[in-house]
Amino acid sequence: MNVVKRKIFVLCVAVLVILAFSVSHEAMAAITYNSAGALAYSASGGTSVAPAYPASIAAGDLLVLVIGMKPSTANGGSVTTPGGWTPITSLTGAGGYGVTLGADTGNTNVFTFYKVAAGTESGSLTVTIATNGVSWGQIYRLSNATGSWDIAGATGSDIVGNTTVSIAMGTNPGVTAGDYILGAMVIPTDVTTPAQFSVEALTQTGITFGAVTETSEPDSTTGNDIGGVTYRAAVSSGTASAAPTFTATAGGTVTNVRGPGVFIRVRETIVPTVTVSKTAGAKITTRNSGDTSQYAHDTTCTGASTCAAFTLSINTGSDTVTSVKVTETGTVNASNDLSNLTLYYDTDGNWADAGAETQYGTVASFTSEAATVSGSLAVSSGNTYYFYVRFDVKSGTPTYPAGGTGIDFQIAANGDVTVSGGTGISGAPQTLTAAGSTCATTAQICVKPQVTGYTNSTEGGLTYSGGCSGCGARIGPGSAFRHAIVIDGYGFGSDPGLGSRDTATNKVEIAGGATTMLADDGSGNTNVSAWSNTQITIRTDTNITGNADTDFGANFGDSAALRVTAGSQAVASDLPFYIFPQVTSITNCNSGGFPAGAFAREYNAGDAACPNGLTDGQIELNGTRFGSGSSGGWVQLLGCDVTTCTTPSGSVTIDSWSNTLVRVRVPTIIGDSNYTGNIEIQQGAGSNNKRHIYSGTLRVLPRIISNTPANGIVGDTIQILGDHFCQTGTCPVSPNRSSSADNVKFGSTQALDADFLAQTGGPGACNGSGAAWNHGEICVKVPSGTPTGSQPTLVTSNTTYTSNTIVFTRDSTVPSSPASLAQYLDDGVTSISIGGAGTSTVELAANITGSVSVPTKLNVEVKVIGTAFDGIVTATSTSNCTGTCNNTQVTVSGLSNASSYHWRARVINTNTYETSAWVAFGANPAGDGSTDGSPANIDLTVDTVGPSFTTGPCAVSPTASSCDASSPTDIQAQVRWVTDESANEQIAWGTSCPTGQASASATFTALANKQPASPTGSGTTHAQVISGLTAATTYYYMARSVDALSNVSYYPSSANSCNTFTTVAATTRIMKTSEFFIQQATTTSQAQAFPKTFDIFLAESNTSRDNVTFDSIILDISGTARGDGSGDITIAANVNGTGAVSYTLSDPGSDKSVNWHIAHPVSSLNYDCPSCSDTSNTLDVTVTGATAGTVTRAKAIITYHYTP
Amino acid sequence: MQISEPKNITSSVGGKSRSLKIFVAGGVLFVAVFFGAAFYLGWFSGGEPEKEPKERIIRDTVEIPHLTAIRGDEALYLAHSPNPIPIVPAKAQGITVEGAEQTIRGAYDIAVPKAKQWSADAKLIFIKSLGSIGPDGKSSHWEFTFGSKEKKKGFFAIVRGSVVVSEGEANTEKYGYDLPKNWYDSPDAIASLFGLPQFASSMITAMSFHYNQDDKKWNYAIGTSRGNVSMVVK
Repeated sequence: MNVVKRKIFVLCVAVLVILAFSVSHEAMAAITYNSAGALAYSASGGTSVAPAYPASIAAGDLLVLVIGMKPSTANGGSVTTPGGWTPITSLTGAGGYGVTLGADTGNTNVFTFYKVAAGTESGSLTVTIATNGVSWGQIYRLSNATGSWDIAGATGSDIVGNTTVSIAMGTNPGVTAGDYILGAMVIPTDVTTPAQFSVEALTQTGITFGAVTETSEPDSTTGNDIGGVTYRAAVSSGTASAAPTFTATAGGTVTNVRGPGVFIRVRETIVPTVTVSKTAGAKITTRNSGDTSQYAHDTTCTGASTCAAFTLSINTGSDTVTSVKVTETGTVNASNDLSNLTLYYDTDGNWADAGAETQYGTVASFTSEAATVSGSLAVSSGNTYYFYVRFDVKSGTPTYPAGGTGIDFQIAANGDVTVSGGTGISGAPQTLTAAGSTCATTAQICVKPQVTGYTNSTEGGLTYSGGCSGCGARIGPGSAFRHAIVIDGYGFGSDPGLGSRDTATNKVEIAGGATTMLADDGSGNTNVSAWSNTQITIRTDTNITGNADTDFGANFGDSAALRVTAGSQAVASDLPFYIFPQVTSITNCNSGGFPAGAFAREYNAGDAACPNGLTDGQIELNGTRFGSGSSGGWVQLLGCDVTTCTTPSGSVTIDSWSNTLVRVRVPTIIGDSNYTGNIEIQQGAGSNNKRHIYSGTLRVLPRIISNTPANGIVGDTIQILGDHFCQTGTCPVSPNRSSSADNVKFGSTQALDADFLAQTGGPGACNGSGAAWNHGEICVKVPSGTPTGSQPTLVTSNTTYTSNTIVFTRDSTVPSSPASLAQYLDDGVTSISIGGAGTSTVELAANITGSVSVPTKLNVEVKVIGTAFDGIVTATSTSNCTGTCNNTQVTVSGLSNASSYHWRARVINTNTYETSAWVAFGANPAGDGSTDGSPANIDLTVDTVGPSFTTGPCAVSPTASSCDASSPTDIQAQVRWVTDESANEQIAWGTSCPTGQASASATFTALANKQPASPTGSGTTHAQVISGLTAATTYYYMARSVDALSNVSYYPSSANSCNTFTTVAATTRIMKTSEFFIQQATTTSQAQAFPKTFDIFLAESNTSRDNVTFDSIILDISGTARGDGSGDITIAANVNGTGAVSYTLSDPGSDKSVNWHIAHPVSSLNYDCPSCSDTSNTLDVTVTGATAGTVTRAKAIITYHYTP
Repeated sequence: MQISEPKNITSSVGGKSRSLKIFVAGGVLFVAVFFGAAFYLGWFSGGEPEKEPKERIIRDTVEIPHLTAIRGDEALYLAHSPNPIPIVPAKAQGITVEGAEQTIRGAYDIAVPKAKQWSADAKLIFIKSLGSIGPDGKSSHWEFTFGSKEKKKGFFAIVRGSVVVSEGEANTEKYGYDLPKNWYDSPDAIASLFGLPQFASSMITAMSFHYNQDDKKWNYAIGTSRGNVSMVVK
């Protein structure tokens, strides 16, 4: 853009600005012409004229008075301005007549006045006139909206009488669009017709007039006559730049239609006024006491309909607002409790649009409930200025308004707004639109109390800090455990008074899962102990009625819970307030000797209950707010849960859980050397899972878990296992292990320091490593002097702390009585029955039962029957027995043959020579046998002699049953003998008797044949059949029997001595084989028609049936069977009921048949013979595993020999 | 200890004439019906009929000990009274322990001048009740033990009612401890229990005030029918 263009552009802009400015200041009013009053004429030469007022005059209307005058003296005449009227303009002596004055001729005058109507005008206005020939007068009424008018006039005259009326006004009165024009012309003649003037028109450079309307044509013949015309016209547009001209057409006689004219410009003028008003938007409903820079409106509002604001507007022009006084009209004491009133303004009424809200003037303080803000704001018409109120809900003192009070703002009077330009102020009073709050005065902004924080003066760690989750309080049973919380804030109001701090109007509540009001019982222990406008002190004592733990119910506080209500107004925002658990006391086992307090042992399921139902491994946590159940909660003891102490994430075992009581078990996971520590709880079900560490300390007392062994004798080493044996944290060492502070007792016997055994290389269970006394193990001997019987162990550590007791039995060193007494031959194995025979040396035995670790032996006392026990030990076992030794034997020798004995036994401690009671053996009376008197009950009889041959030996027929007269056969002989006692048997024979033998035994051995090969049998009757002998031969034989005690007898008993027999001459024998068929089965079913009876007849047999000998018997059995496809087929044969023998066939398959054939051997059959008594046999055959079958054939095939 | 029999206000009517008996019986019946109805209707207690508390007087017969040695942990082992008294005050109404004039702190104020007279540096080792104790925290007998570091000795004092009835020096290796700043009294300690439902029906049998070596804090131990309860005095 070059310079020229730039200049043109700037010029254009300037012109536009000027035009805009001029337009903005143009009176844009609307003027209404209403009516004209009736014309009035003066009397000829009269001194007044009284035109009528127009009808319906209202205040503010503009009345314009026009007086036309034909003076009584040429160029004379005047009008006195009526009272209350203002001259506009006038012109006298006009018409161009000079001094001529006569009827219908001569110069005339025109006078104009105006008045802003008071509204009271009526009737007519008498106007004083002078030098008057005749005058007319008329009043016109115009109106506008403002009642403000600007009037100007111009005059001119037409000095030529013709049909063309033309009056060029001498000046331009300043005509512009919107103006209204009233005009008139006075002529010295009466009008010739009622419409002498026509086509009235106005012209003026720059102006477009509306239609020119003739208003009236004054016309009077009074005096020298007078006439004229009045007209009116609106100014349509434009702005005049030259004087106007009135033209009209005159009719009739136009000679004297000339004279003065007047041009009255009427303009509605606007009186600059600043109007005070307000928006429709309602005030904010609440503000928090103590808050600063608070607005009376909702800062989210977006327009005048929602934004509460005062408005100022100027109806025209501009002015500068220099101060605004805002009066607080609510119930709050603003002078005391509010401050820093600040006004902001914008011109769109929209606060939230981030527009140009600008602070107006200074920040003002309240005095006498009002604050005046001084500033400078140019206001101009066409704009509305929205004034927003901001204030501090506190004073600078500081003081704070109480909750429930109301705040309202008002521009109370027009004078409360001042402007520098003097513009009038109207519209006041204006009060910001009602808030609709919850205050008693609902139209006002309600002040709410505000809690800004609190201090837990009992447990500082629970003091509030912004957004805290670890703040609040614990509630305590009784004054000793309550918490005191000082609540800071504003607007709590004055103290309602002790006993009245828990009403609906004023109260403190904890609103969590439920809402609990802190109770003020009016006592010194009240839970609301102090109340001021800025501070309230509450307590949490559950002993106050209404605040019991159960009253809190499910209330555990939460992130918005602490609420103060003052003046019936609750705080807008509750502060975080959590109700924490509190462990106030610990209950433990109340067994006698168990210390009262937070003491317990690690839990052991085997513990007996204490009188109060706890065990020494359980404790109860008493307190408050633990939660309704264990879900989500836990208890940790010494930093341990049930499984770990390293990173505990769970709980120790919970036995029961309620809101005020939790019973737990002390976990065994606690380190044996960890003695004291915390009791910590996390709230359970329904809570916020807050925690508490009990202010005291839990001590884990010593616990003995086991004694190994659990019994013993003095000097035995006992391993005491357990935990927490060193309550000082340091385990006692020599020589301090048997002090009053630290000791181990067996019953009431305290182990000496020397009784403790370092575990290094220690005996038994104490063979580990380390000192004798550890946190979890003590190795100690059973101290000397410990009585026998139950002596439970007890560990005392650090004087006060004692363990549980665990069973220990100090065993007696008196041995237990022997049991299971037995007597044996000298082999120690062969038992001698009670009363049985024994050798001269016997082994007497018994079981030694050793519950104690002492060396023992077995004593026996053996007495001959008839001699009572006298306690003198006959014999003792050779080796010491330690513990249990079954079948401990004592060798007793030198017993007399044929003597009978009884005996008893006892166990002797070879260390102490303590003995058990005697126990008698056998059939003697129970006990030690000492009451036998002269016992007749024989335990054993000594037998050292072999059996005697009372009959035989003899050699007889093989079939003989005694040493009868029979003789051996040709091939067989039977040797028989009888002994006097049970013995076995064996014979030896040969064809010669040995010689040179040293003994009968050697002779027996030397014989060539032995039968049986080894001695067999028992009893007193003995027989041996010798076969395979040679006929007609002499044989030498001996018999040998050995009794049960191995006593041997030979017969003959001398060395090289034998008995003899001779076989007879050889005898003839014949062999045969015969077959005997057996009836076959008669059915094919498995239910065979068996057993079958069959007979055998041997014709060679004598009636004694002793000349026939079976060599072979075979039953030949055949049949068929149909397989069932499932398993083998079994054929079972049973002859004479001696027992079935089974034969197995493979299953040929379902419904397949198989022929079977078996050869079933038996050893003998019954048979008939001539003259013999009848006898028979049975054969039973069963088939199983077949669906069908039959026996098709059976026969017995017998081979035998006989002696003819 | 001895317990007096409940006062029997009707026992004196045994020798009256029959008519008088009938009259008295009728009067008693009328009064019983009247008061029964009144209680039932809640004239006296908001609608909940209540039992008239029985009057009972407990007379403790305590063998006054003369200590020769003070181990220091004796207070962990409470001297339970054979006369349990309800913990909840309302339930203990009508029960009077004769001579139970002092709370622990009250009795301490009586005993401590004796201890200070014995040794200016005397410090408390423990206190334990020897007699019955009620929910008001008062017992007829309190046993006090003190220690003197300077004397390397202990001192005991037995307060019966409001009088020291026995005192003397004893051997000890405990020389006492500084008292807690917030030493709430025995009634406050008991009050911490009767607000808890688990103690609603419990009886109190003994009390002690002792120093816990583990947490270096004074503790109350209260013997109750629910067991021994301990609490810390911070």
